[in-house]
Amino acid sequence: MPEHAPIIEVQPPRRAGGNVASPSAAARLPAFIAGPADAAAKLGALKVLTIGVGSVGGRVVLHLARLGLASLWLIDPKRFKAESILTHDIDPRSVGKFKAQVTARRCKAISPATRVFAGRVRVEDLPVDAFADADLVVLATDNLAAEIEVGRRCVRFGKPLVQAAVHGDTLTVQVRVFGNADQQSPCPACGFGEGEWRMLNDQVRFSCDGSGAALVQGALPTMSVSSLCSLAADLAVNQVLRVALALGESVLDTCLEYCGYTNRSVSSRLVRNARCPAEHARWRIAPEIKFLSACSPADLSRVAGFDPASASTAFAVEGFNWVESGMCRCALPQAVRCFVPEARQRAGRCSQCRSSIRVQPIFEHQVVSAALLGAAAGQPLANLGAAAARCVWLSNGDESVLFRAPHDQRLP
Amino acid sequence: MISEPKTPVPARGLHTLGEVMLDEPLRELLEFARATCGGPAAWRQRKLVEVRELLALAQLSGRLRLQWLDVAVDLRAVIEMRVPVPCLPKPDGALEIAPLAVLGVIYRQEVLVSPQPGFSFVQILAPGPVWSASVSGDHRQLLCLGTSLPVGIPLKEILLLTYGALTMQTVQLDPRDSAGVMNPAAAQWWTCANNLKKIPLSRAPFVVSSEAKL
Ligand SMILES: [Zn+2]
Ligand SMILES: [Zn+2]
Repeated sequence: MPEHAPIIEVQPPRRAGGNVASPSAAARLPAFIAGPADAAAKLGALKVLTIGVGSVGGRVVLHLARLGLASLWLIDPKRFKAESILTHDIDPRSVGKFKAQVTARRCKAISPATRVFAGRVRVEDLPVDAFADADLVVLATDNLAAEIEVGRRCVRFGKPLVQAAVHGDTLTVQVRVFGNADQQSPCPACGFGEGEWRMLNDQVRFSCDGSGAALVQGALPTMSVSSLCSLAADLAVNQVLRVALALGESVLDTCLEYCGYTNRSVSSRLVRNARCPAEHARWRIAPEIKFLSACSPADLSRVAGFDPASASTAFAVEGFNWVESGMCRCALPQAVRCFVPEARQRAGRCSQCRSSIRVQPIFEHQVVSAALLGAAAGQPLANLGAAAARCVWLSNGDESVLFRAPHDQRLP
Repeated sequence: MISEPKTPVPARGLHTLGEVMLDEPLRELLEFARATCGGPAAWRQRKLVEVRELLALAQLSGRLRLQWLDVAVDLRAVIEMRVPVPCLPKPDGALEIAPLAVLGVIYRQEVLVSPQPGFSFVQILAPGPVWSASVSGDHRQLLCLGTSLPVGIPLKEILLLTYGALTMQTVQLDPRDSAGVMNPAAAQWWTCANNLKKIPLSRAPFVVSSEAKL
């Protein structure tokens, strides 16, 4: 993960009475039937990204910490509320604090050898390559927009996704495992019916102050009992073990449903919905490029294997927008034609009137086509305003390739 | 100059815009869109449906003229709309009503899967400064069409909402309610009794035909 992301690595707690010896995670690991002989080593190398660390996800990560994983990333923008005590596995003193941070500290205390990271951000605000280095992703949120985004990112990078959810009224737990073997694999949105799409529209609200996407989430809190959330977490972790250690029959692309009224569990296959509007695109990850900003869009296009002459290749530089033109005091728009850091509303000064050139959204592109870049496609990114480029992705039709510069904060 | 509508509105209203036979210059524009359309297959297909409806709406309504179109990534268009636009060139001066708005319209792929902010679709490039509660007072002149627009909202609906907002047929003037108010000072100004009686700026429907059912 990049340095600019508001994500911090949690340090081991300092204990007043000196450090308590940490047990080896293998000390209680059973000999799984038909499991790998090196199960402990496999778990010790596993990197798991968890989206949502509330009543279900919070418990999942505590279990995962006990397995002694290599890395755990906890992503949740929310704080604990007073009501969280009723459904979450938390100390009442945690109320008011950020879920990701508090839970990450607990994970680190359980497994000091695990690198634990806490992100107080929405999944939509994570760096574009955030999922690229994870081995597996866990999703535990009631936020439908986040579900779609997580599904899309997992498909892009081919990451198995374990999704846990509860339905309190019917005492039901569902754990879906999306294999994401290819673009034909199902995603969470494949299962959305009319009700989910309607709920999604109801859940998302924006403030109209025009300042940007100031999001007001209208998602209702999870109505459940603590034990049901705990059961969902336990079943989800069991599926994580099944996937990570290839235990038993494959659980990829299945939904496990347990009903507390009938005490029955049913496993069914998840299938791709041909009419799913979510993007099912697989990205290739190109080998790291040390001096990414020294490359031109045309260079990258060639490395990606795209026809450099194709006008339909599209480019995006993380953290930057391509600004085609802007307005100054002169009557006509001024050409800018370079990458400008996101959210910056000015793009240099006009050489004639000396006033600053203001960016117009219609001429500002997060993703820019080769047609629009024109001759600029032959210029190194550094000359086009993106000297700090860390991540660039190119698309042509249904194909996409991600380029990354090396950095030290990536999922280790 | 924007021409008067020539083609009759289809009997079943704007739901059947896709069936409208496009006149020659508009057919050429559609061909241009087809030739330059980029992105994943499903999104390319959707953009072409939206462009076709936009062109049909332009032909039917006589209110729209396409100045520029780019469908390589997003669907982006600069569109002239014949609509009264309230402007206040001097803060203490008189209100002026311009007859035409030049709109910068962006329709992004994200619209297919997530609700979008109401101010993320339309920017008023001219005239300026627009004096409306739903248009931001800064240089971007972003038009807010609501707190959130639903997943998959068609482009034609964005344009109809734009017309409603600029004519002030649909207006939200409570500066204490952040929903829809982009310019609180303008909202305050319009609530004064003297100004309130000017609303709406026009009662004319978007498509001037009794057959048009929205
Ligand atoms: Zn899907
Ligand atoms: Zn100038």
